Amino acid sequence: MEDRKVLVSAKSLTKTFKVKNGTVKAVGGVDIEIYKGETLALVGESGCGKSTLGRLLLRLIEPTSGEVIFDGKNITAMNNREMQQMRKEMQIVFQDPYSSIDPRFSVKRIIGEPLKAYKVFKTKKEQEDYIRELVEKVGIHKEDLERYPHQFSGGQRQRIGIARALALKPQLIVCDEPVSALDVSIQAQTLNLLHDLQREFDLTYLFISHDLAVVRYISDRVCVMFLGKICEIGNTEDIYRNPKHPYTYFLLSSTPKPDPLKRKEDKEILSGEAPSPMNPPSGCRFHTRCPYAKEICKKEEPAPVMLDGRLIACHFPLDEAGI
Amino acid sequence: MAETSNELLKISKLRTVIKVRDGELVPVDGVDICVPFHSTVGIVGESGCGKSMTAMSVMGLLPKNVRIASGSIRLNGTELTELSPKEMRKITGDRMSIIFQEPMTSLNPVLTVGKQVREAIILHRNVSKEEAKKMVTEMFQSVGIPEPQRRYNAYPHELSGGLRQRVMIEMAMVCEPELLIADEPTTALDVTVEAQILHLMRKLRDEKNTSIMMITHNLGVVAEICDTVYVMYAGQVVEHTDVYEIFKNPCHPYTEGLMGSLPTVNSKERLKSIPGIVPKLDQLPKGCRLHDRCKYATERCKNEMPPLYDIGDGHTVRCFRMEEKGKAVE
Repeated sequence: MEDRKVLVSAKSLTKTFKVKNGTVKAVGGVDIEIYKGETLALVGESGCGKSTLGRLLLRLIEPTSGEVIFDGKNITAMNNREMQQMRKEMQIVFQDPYSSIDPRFSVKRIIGEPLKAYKVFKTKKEQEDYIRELVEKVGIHKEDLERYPHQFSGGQRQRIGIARALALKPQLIVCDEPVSALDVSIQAQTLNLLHDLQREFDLTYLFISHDLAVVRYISDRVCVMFLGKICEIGNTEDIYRNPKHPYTYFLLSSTPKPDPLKRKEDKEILSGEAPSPMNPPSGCRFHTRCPYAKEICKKEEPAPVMLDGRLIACHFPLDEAGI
Repeated sequence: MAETSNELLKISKLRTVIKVRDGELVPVDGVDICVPFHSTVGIVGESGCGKSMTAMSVMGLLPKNVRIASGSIRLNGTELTELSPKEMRKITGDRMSIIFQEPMTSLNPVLTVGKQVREAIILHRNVSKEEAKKMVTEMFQSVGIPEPQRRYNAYPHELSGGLRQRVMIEMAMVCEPELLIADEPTTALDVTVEAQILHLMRKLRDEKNTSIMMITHNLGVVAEICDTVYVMYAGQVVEHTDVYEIFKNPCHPYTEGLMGSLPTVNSKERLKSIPGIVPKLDQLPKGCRLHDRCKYATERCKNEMPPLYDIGDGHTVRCFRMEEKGKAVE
């Protein structure tokens, strides 16, 4: 799919945080591209740097090094005023809508705030009509506009968060674990909504999640991360059918499948503990837990290479594993 | 049921009520659950369905404003609802124990984990401190905690989430209880760690002959470890059968909705979710509690509460659509 337009691309993006006794490299030199109109999922376990990467791509935090090109423009080099104009194009939806929306604002004000900041409408009436139309689209009754976040259920609050992100008609929405705090039936409602909105508004999603079943359902491509590095990027179905990176393989095989007939009591389990990001292993960062690791994995970090249409960083990629 | 001798835990007609300012709420309303020996029983449902309240009722861990109004809970012949708090304390930890979702809130942050587990042993077993310590390190080894000697002196915050949950499981298992209640034990954990913990629970169940009551909202976990399943909705059991049947032939509209909400492997079709949300306890609808979210609901469902129907092989369903297929059991 060479002809697809790249909306966001990151080049050797790194982010180092200072902590008490040293530094943590949360994102260690990541190259990634997001195509216009697609849903790219970012998966990995807690602490792998997926949320940090999501925030870097929006420049919500400053990278230590590297650059982010959004819609052809280098946003990492922009000054504040230029950046502010770009922000219209990129929004974020967080996991917990209660802590990311102001509890003292009514729904109308929550959604109206970005519109006001960018002076989108000339009159109050126009703005209100627009908000009314928007909340209906995300499934909130327009009679509820004067209500406050605590008067809504978790699923509805997430809809409010989505409406706010949509208000400025952005090109990209970063969804950071948007359904992880929701019950399954509400999760399904929200996923359906995100899917509908993507079609209607021609949105591009970066979908950050640890839930591999949800990711398979919603995404076109998947990027698997481990300790600040990318293990594998490729088309969702290819990766799920035939994971090439051992870490991807174990992530997939560890996920409980909702089918008792496929129960495997003796399945391979990734042993040991995740290494500390403060003191990552030498060479391939996964080698301490990888059952296939050899000498070279301890010494040399595998460079990402293209293999059968996907990017993989492993010295010994798996063949048809078939899970 | 004829096979009474097979039942380790038998909850009958349990009704637990919360006292609030203007009356009472009923989070558990006439629940029957049976945990046979050597088995894993799953209790599934979304938040607010009464799963945890049922577990807390069994453990006698109810907050002050909550009480068991009626019903019986029998653990291998002992009626738990009639015990004094002192008698109850003897049973909890010894014959049954519980682990929670977030081990950090259940562990004491200012005591080393070794000491906390040791205390649990000394409380229930007549052993010296040294013997208890030895038991703890042995157990650490068997639940897969690396460097048990060093971890004995570690504080909870020095351990990862997975290790903390292992400590909790060990503490729950030191006295080899007959029943282990696990309330969302893997919900806060990463998938690779979840797989480790489920593997550990399976191993302990088989080695120590403990039965597990697994409370979860994750149908994947149910499929992975449970033998039989109870689906709860708004304080009631709405469906019960074995794990294969529940996935192959879900009969209650709520169970069907839960299954439909799961993203399936090969399909990108719209998820068949259930509209609306679980009703709040002070707004429980009349009749069948699901009727305003149910696509099959009729006039009758709005006014009349359906009983559980037995549709064969112990598969029970609380839905009028099953009236012709089975006979009412309550």
